[in-house]
Amino acid sequence: MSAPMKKCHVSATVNGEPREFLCEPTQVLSDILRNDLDLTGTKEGCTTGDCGACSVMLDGALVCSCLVLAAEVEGSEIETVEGVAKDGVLHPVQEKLLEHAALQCGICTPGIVVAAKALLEQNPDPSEEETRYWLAGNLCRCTGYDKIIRAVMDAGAAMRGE
Amino acid sequence: MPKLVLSSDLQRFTAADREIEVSASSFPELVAELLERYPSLTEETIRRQSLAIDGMIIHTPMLERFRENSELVFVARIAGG
Amino acid sequence: MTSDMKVKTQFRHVGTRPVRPDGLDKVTGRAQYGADRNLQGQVYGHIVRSPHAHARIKSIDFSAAEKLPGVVATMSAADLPEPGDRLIPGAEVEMKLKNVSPVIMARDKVLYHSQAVAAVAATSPRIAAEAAALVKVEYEVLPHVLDMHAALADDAPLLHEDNFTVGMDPPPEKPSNVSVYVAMAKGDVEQGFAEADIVLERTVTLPMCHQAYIEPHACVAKVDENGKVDIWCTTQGQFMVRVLTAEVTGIPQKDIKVTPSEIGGGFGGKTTVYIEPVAAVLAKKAGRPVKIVMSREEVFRASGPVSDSETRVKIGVKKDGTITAIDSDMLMNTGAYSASAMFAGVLFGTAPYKCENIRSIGREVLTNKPRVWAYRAPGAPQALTAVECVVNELAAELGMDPIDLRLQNAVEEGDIPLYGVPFQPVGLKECLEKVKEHPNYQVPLGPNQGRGVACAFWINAGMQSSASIHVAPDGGISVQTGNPDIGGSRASMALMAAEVLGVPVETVRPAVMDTDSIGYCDGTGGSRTTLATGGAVIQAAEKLVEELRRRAAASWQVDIEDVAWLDGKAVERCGIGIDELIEGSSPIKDGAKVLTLAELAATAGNTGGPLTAVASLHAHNAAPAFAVNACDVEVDPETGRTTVLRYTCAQDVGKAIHPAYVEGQLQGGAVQGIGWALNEEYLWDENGVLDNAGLLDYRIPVASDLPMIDTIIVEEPNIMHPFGVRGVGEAPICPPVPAVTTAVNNAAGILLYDLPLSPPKVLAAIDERD
Repeated sequence: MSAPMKKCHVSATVNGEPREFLCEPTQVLSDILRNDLDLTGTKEGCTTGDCGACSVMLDGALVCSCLVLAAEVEGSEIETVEGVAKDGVLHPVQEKLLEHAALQCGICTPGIVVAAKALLEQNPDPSEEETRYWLAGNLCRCTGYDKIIRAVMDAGAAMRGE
Repeated sequence: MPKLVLSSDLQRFTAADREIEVSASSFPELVAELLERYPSLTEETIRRQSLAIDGMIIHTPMLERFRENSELVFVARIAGG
Repeated sequence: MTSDMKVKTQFRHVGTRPVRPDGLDKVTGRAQYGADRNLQGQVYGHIVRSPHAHARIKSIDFSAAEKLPGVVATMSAADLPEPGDRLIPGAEVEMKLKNVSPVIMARDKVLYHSQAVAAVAATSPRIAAEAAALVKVEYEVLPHVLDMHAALADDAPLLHEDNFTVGMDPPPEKPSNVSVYVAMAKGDVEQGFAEADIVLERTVTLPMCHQAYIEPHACVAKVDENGKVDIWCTTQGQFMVRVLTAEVTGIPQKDIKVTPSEIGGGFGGKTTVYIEPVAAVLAKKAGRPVKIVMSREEVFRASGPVSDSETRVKIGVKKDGTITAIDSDMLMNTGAYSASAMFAGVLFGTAPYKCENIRSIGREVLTNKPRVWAYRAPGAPQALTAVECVVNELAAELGMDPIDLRLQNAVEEGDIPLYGVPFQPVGLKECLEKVKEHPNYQVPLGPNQGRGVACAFWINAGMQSSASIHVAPDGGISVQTGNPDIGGSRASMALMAAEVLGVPVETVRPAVMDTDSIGYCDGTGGSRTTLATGGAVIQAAEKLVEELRRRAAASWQVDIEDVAWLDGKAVERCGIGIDELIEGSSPIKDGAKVLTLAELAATAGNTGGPLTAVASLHAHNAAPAFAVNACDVEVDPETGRTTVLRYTCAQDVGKAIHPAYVEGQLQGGAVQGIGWALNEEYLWDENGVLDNAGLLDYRIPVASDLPMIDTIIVEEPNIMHPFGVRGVGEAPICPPVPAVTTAVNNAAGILLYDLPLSPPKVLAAIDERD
């Protein structure tokens, strides 16, 4: 039988703001984001790193936040879907997902937004194949991906000024 | 008189009658008429079917009335996803 | 009954593609799904699950669990009423409570691995999980049966000793594992086969699969001191959650309020409950809100997967391509309790064809697997796949294009399918023609490439819906319904309201209400929401227009007949006919009085009070959908892996209210079918434990597996619906399974009908071929 676990104190920057939280050593980042920091835009579809709904940026790297121990993000910079639109203006990826009707239920959408933004930052002009492989870790069960791929490529074009 | 088409899974209650004319002008009358005509048929069996009246499939036809030339078909209830 | 309906054909808003009203919340992460709500003082539920596939529960001992600090409540089936023989409203058909209640909490016996047997609530998810592990359940393990054929054997272990097959004539004297038998027929199949020049028989098996919605089931329930229950959950139907929670727990419906969250996919899988009654009972016992979120593993092991099936189909065809007879015999696995969609399989597998002589038999088989549940066009893919694969083989034997063979036999208006109701105008032929003309169908195939075609049918549901419309003092329109928005239905409701009211769609705010705040609505399922709930919205909007005309007439001291409603404004007719005004053939007279919606709304307090309209209906006007898919694949002969090269889907949707979301339904259904055909299957060990209960090993299609999915929307209006709507969502999953199967067989030069056509199986078949 387990004794209550002593919690760890963690400080990190989340969406540009300094945040602090206490977590059990076994708690994962997605749990803390959702249930302690009220950032429920990060979704949990599997908690085994297979669905990508919990995608966030951790120190500039795209990660599944369900695979990151919360205690390990001390001093890190984290960006979640809530930090993607800036000053009330949507990111082109968000704009284009809406314009292309590239979501049905919308549960995978936050992960797609974070992952697609990361793609376009690395590769401003991805091919269809590159886009498909980049997003292969973000499961969508509703759309068949067609409109998502088109929207992300179109967002790239918009960001390139085309 | 309205025409009633009986599906093959109902025909086992209806001595293989497949298409009959009924004098009923409403669903309650139809139920009464069928129960009298086919003693092995039960009200429960009838009420588990939907009734199509002139192409409209009606799940709960309790209050439905028929026209003189209506075409009636019992249809198994189907659930969607 | 049907002839007096006037179907609208000219639209200003319907058919456009506005951004969905809930879109912003969904791309920014603000939208709240099932697991996104936490309540003050909340504790966490955890369900204790059976480690056995078949066992008698001898005792449940909570004493060790209850001693763990932080545990606040425990429960088992002893806390629920005995189901007896009670019939309850199911998702869309009546069900026996004894086939529902034990899936929530097993009583006496467990019939599948991971069936719920008890639950605990504790102050943290971790403590709840630890407490669940401390619940001691004593079992007497019984022999289990997983395979349908094994379950049919005379000496098979019986799941239910009181199961006497329904539908047999005479009724059976002995119990068995066959829950339902159904036989349907028309014409004379033997005669039909005698007339045929070619007769081909095949057996096609589909694996058990899962809807694999990305959002696991989640809910939070609280119960106040008066016993009033408040449930927040992800569901395809809040009213369904209310009635099922009431029936399972014994809490009256009047004491239950259900608020639907945003829903992260369902596809039929969320048209029932698994955790809501448990959360309600635990919350009542704990005196604190209880949140339960199923893990992905629990979703795979213990929600409602999809029937595996074995369908033997024999089809006879004349040299000229006329199909003379179809004989179909299917086994449908229902898992531990009767709940499969076998009727749909038996009735619909042959629906695309004119054939006069049809026999279709089905047996629903009980096995020690989770009770199956609905998945998009439930039952139809299992039947249609077999029929369509045989039709494709026949076309090849006849040297005919598979689309031409189908065109020759395709049903049209007046034809009578096996379920007996004559077709009104249907768009099957147009779908076939459009796919045939599509550039994808003209591309020459290379080595190791193959093409497959299939068509499909789904009946579509109507059922009960309510809608209300309220007008704000500045003319803003609020449209309320009771159907969770699973794929853009808010946008469709807004478009239909805007169409009738003649206002910009942006001024319409559609909302999904809780069970206390709107009239009853059947669930979002059966492809019924746009047709039936949309129908209620149209009716409410029409009532509102009449009320607006009445208010204008009162202001002008004229008769209501002298007021027309044009482009969101009341207009004095001045003797001009309403139709002429609406069609624009006569202009509004100079000097005619006009009141805008905003003006009427601003003065509503003086003309009779707030502007509001309500409509409720039981929709009987559903009309079937037909779909046609064509698919090109390439099979790697070294690995057996299939790559989908090109994909085309056409469907008759009646009227596409928001075409982008209609395309999305076609594309999403196609990809789910591709997954079922190529990869997805439940894999079991010999103890009845699911081997692949995760999204890594139960592999749904990912973006890099697929090409673009080209769509063709065919609009043959439903003559019974004011806007011509048929319903879209279900049919799309049917044709991809046979289309892909045929394409793979053609590409690899094999004849493999044991789905999924996964690389190892395809490779083995290629080796056998050589």
